[in-house]
Amino acid sequence: MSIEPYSTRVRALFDTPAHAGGLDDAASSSIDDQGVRIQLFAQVEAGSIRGLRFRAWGCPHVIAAAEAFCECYEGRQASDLSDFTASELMQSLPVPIEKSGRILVIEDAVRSLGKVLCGTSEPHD
Amino acid sequence: MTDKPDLIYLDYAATTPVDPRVVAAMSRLLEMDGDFANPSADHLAGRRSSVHVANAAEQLAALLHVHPDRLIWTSGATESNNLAIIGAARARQHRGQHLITMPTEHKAVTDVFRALERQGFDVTWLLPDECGALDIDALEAAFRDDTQLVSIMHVNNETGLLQDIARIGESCRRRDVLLHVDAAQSVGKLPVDLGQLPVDLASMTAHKMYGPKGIGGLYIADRPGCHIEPLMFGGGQQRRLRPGTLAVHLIAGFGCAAEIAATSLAEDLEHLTTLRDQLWAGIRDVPGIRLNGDIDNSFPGILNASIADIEGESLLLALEPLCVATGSACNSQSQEPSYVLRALGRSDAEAQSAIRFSLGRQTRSEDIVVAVRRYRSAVSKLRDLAPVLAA
Amino acid sequence: MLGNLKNTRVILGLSGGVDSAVAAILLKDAGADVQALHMTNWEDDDGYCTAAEDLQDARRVCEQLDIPLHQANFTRQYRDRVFDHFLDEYRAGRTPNPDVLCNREIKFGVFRDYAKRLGGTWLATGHYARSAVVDGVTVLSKAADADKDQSYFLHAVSAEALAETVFPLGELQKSEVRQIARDRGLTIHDKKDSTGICFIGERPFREFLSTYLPANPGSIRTPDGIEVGQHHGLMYYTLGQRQGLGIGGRKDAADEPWYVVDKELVSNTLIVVQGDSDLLLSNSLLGIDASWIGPAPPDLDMGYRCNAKIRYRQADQDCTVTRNDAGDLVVDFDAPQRAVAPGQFVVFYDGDRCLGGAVIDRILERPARVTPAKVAAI
Repeated sequence: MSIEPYSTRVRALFDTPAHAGGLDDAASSSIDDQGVRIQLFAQVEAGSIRGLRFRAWGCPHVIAAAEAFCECYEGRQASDLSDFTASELMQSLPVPIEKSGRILVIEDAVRSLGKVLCGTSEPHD
Repeated sequence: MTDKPDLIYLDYAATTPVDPRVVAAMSRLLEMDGDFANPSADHLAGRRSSVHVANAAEQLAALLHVHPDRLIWTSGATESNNLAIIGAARARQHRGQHLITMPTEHKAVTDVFRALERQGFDVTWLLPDECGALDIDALEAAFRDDTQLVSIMHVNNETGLLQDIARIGESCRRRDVLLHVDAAQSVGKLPVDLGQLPVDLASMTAHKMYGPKGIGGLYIADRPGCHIEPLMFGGGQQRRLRPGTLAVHLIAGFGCAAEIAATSLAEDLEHLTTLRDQLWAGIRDVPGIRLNGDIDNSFPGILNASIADIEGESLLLALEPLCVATGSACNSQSQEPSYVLRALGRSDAEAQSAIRFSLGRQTRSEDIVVAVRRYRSAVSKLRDLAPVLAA
Repeated sequence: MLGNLKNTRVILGLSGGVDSAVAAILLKDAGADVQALHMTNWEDDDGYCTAAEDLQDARRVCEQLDIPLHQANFTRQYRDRVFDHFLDEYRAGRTPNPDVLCNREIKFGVFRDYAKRLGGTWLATGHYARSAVVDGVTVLSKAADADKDQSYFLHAVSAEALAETVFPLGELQKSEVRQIARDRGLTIHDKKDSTGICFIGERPFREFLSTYLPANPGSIRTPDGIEVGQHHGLMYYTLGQRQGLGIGGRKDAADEPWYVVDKELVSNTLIVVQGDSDLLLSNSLLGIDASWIGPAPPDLDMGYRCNAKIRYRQADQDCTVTRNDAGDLVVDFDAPQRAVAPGQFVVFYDGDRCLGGAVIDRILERPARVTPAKVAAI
């Protein structure tokens, strides 16, 4: 255990999560697993993610990771969501190894959102 | 970096800053022109040092209303607890091997009993009520013919709950069973009159009462049958019960802290009660909050509350710059829910969301105002972040 | 065996007991990139104490060995895939073996999937068994410590999973494992081995089961129909059982113990006999839902000679296994078997090699000298 458990980036993302909240008329996914609850909302126009929001219940790394994901994928193509892996966030924040399982819950939520957006004609969960 | 406001230290139950008067008393003893010598040495300098040790014993003894000869210096309450419990259990094992304690004791007690269990001792763990108090009838029922030692803490380090040591001690005396009390959270902060209380062994430490870290004490009553075996060997100091060169500067610091405590105790208590009441009044209406312990039967320097549906680690970070504890400082590294709160019947989630505010002499009313504001805003921030439960 | 794990990510199932802790030591010594995964499969208030202690012990082991500890909660999956089946089997009057299912569905199922997501190239557990891939064929073998061998419980795990699993304790004796734990100063070296089914722990079994299944008391009769007592519910009794029947002091009976030989679900009757009766014996059983580690033995339709165990730690029994038209297995034993319990597993061996197994569906044949007055309940 390091002396300071949170990187400057994790602290900043946790302190001011600009993408926290819900979105109306958006596709969404929701996962409750391994002690983490996560909800993602996406508004997509012509295949591009115009708005991305999250709600999360979990430790600071989970909240920071959800915010980092939204920050990174807003404005990108909805099809990019299938490329998302938890390891991107694990390294960039960074997240301690012991918490990898929680970030995998975010990965599950992103995959699920990707399926909602690309897999079916119904945008609503 | 955003400039964070100054830290607000509300973790006095973990440790306290050292009183400047104590610092002054100690530093005089560390230097060449001070009394740095080994107090066991047979020369003038040694005898000068030993005067400081004797003075400190007088100061601590005065606080506790006991004779100074009944005190042993140790490295802290953890060592005192080990020495008292293992020492007494071994000294009396020819009479019996049954011991009684509670699962809500500090780790420095529970882990000692677990070690004794592995060595063949038989330990009864008495469960507390939902506030944390010991049911005296349960204690009476737990006594056996071979019971030798009961160990119950005075003030719980997580909840501040006070045990009724006088009644517990009377029960033990009637049975000729020794009572050890972990008084680490009460000595110097509450009146602890060991001259009156039916207590045989009591552990204490300087650093929770504005003294230095690394020095503690063990009180051993002057009664037939009340003796302990040493855990360490190596010299004739302290009646061979705890050999080793005495740390004169730390002992003097502890003595000085005890003397200050004796004079300021009533005022300290009034100060803490006012602040604790201000704090609880400020947060008690937060939806989902639940006090752990019993505010009417508590040391006022500690307030512990759980909050429904809030994740503990995020709460702790959102509370910055408040320095508060989630559980006992010893297990705050791992995220396991407090075993003390679990024993009070709290769920894992409730235990994990618990925050212990502990107040001290330097805490000001303005600090409590900030603490209340921070707590309320942290809870509402995290609730806003949380997913809305699907119907 | 552990030599080729250097710098390879191994996810080890760490329970908080001595065995998996020593497995961690061995993997670390082999230079593997070991990460531990502690799973919770069962949550209730009664079980809390040991579960919390196990997690705490797992933490201590990881701190001592300086390896990261992941935690995962598979309570939901355990309930859906293991416990529901366990209850169903009891309802059907059978005696299930949840440990076999737990290995197949959880430890080598969801747990393994999770380990892969954590970047594990290998999965490791503290089981006493050996696995190897020989010429492209996955082989599960008994542990070097015959007394501790757990291959019986692993027989239903897929070859695919076994091929990616290491059992670091497979070559060791239990005494050596304890010795390593002591020598390395593991604080848990003297911890007792857990006993019983994981979710029941040390609780009385009857009390545990009664909270999930309604007990339906009925009569206890001899094969001739004479009522000799009352039972608490058929599910509490296992074929061959002699303790706890509450029959005794009958004037017309000798002092010999009574044994359960049958359960009649329809009439809710427990059938018992006095003395070590031939009724407890059977020559042959029907195995269903067979699973093989790798391809099924080639001459199964002709009658395949091998060894079998019908319960954990039983000595190997010589038998002939024949696949019938329905695809189920008829197992004919050379020597009559005592107390064959439907719901348990028959596991097949070729020497040390574990071939696979099947669920015991029912007894097919009693020894000839026994009057077939009763056919075993389904």
